[in-house]
Amino acid sequence: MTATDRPPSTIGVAEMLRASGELAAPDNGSVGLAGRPLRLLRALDATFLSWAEELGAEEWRFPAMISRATLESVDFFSGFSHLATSATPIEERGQNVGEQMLSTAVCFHLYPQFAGQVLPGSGPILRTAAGECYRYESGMEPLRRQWAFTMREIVFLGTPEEVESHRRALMARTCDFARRLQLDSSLDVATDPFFTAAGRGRALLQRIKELKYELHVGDLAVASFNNHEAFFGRAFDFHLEDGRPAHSGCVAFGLERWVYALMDRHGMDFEF
Amino acid sequence: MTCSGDSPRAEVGQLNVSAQTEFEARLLAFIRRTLLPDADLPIDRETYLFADSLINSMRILDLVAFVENWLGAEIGLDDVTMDHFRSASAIAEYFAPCANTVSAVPRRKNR
Repeated sequence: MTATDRPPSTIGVAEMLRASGELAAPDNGSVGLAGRPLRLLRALDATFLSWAEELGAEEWRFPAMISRATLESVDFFSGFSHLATSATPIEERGQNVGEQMLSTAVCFHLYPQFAGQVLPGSGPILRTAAGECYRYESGMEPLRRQWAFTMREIVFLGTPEEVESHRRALMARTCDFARRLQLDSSLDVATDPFFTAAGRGRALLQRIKELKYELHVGDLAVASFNNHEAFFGRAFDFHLEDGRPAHSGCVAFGLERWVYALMDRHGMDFEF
Repeated sequence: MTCSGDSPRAEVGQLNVSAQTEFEARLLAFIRRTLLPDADLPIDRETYLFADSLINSMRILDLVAFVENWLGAEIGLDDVTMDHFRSASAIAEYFAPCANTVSAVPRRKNR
């Protein structure tokens, strides 16, 4: 670990990186990275990927685009329509590919692959993928809250016990990682930003059953740990050998936020 | 409203014990007759309400609304935890004393 720069207290991380020519922020909720922040983002992603590989997760790569039909299958628009971004071509070319959206989470690409399947009883199915995600939120700020950001996810499907044990194990590992990086962090029960009245019910259930935890560094959630129970199993009809809908869970890391948190804490030269 | 932190729960007296008993009885009746009339198993004061999706995302709204109506105040998000909602007795034990921290006579709407 090196930290030759004084932690930025009065000048923000993004401003310092912009001044050094290592961050391009075109004022539209996205950033381009080079040099030190890019190296740090890659090192973080390599760490999270290595955790997934240790668990035996298969790595996937997905495009940013996802079909609207897939998101409708998971009732996305009743809860999160305010976050969604359309990816509609300006000029139609007569190809009926259906309406496309920009993905708000990497894991939405995974669940449809198991539609109609019986999961093998030999242990959970694990996948990992990183990709660009899009959530249109107010208060955009480079690295901290972006319309376009990078998410690494580790996803697990299986019995309720398998899903919860993987979630808890990754939660503990991530908290330990944050501690070792000297981040002042807290693990908190959280809810997704549901938009509708029906969504409020889902949020209350999430909270009571502690289905979502977030690791916060300051006011930023840098990782989330989600137990979906049988939600996706029912939505896509994938189930266990005994006929019950399979459970699923995911752990998601917001990579730009980790870069921000570490550079804010240790300075621009931080490496690990 | 939040029932956590500095609320004077330690000062709960005989009056509150009576209120808690009444609240629990009414809550249990609401759960049996209105919230979960088709439950496969009998529901008693200690029945775990969140097993097998007994309480779904719509029913939780009704349950919270019932408690809020009895309290005459909104339940703070910090009070929405498994410890406080796992059963009728847990809900009554936690929230009935809260009513007396908000108002001596809880406003009872839609009952």
